[in-house]
Amino acid sequence: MTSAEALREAARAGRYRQFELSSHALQRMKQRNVTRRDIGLALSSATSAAHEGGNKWRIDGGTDDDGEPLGVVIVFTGRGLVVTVF
Amino acid sequence: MHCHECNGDKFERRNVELTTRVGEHTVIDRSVVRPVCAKCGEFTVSAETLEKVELRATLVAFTEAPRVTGAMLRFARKTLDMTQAELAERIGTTFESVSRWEREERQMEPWVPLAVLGLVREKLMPPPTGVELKKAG
Repeated sequence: MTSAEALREAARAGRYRQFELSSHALQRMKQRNVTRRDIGLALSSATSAAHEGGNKWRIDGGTDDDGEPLGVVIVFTGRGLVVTVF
Repeated sequence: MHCHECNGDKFERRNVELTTRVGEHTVIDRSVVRPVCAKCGEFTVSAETLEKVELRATLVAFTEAPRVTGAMLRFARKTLDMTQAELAERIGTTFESVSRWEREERQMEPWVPLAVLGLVREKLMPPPTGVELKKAG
């Protein structure tokens, strides 16, 4: 998978809310006051994807509902699995 | 199926504890059943399930908190997956009002939390299909 493909896949997962969240991601969301909508918006508005090994990608440049930067680390296996947010 | 954390392959279905922050409040939901990794305790939750958890948390917070704050309204709007303009249109106001309520620059009128609660209830329990209203003859 190329960066462009990862970005496209992330945007699709975000737009159609087709992702799963790990328990760590849920914990981080609570700490940062981030909702499901914020993750969807961050994925669909992201501008860069960096490969972190295996099927794991760091999706960056997206913003949440408040227009604040929100990055997402996602594993593409079937539905995207959000492992953390930053 | 393998655990994404430890690669374990044994899972047990049980209730997981999901904590949601609704403004100044925390709501704990123990109603969701998920396959939990027997080795490390890891589990995942789908975006659809999380939507229901967020809606239930909003319902509980709006019903039980002493007052609905701007941060709670903002959380509710995001849970309804709406922009300020979309929420304003649904409850018959302007997006400027929604923005001011969320930032606590203006006090919410008592009908606002009730209107938002109505939208949350509607999303959690859509109106029944196949039921028709007719004028009594």
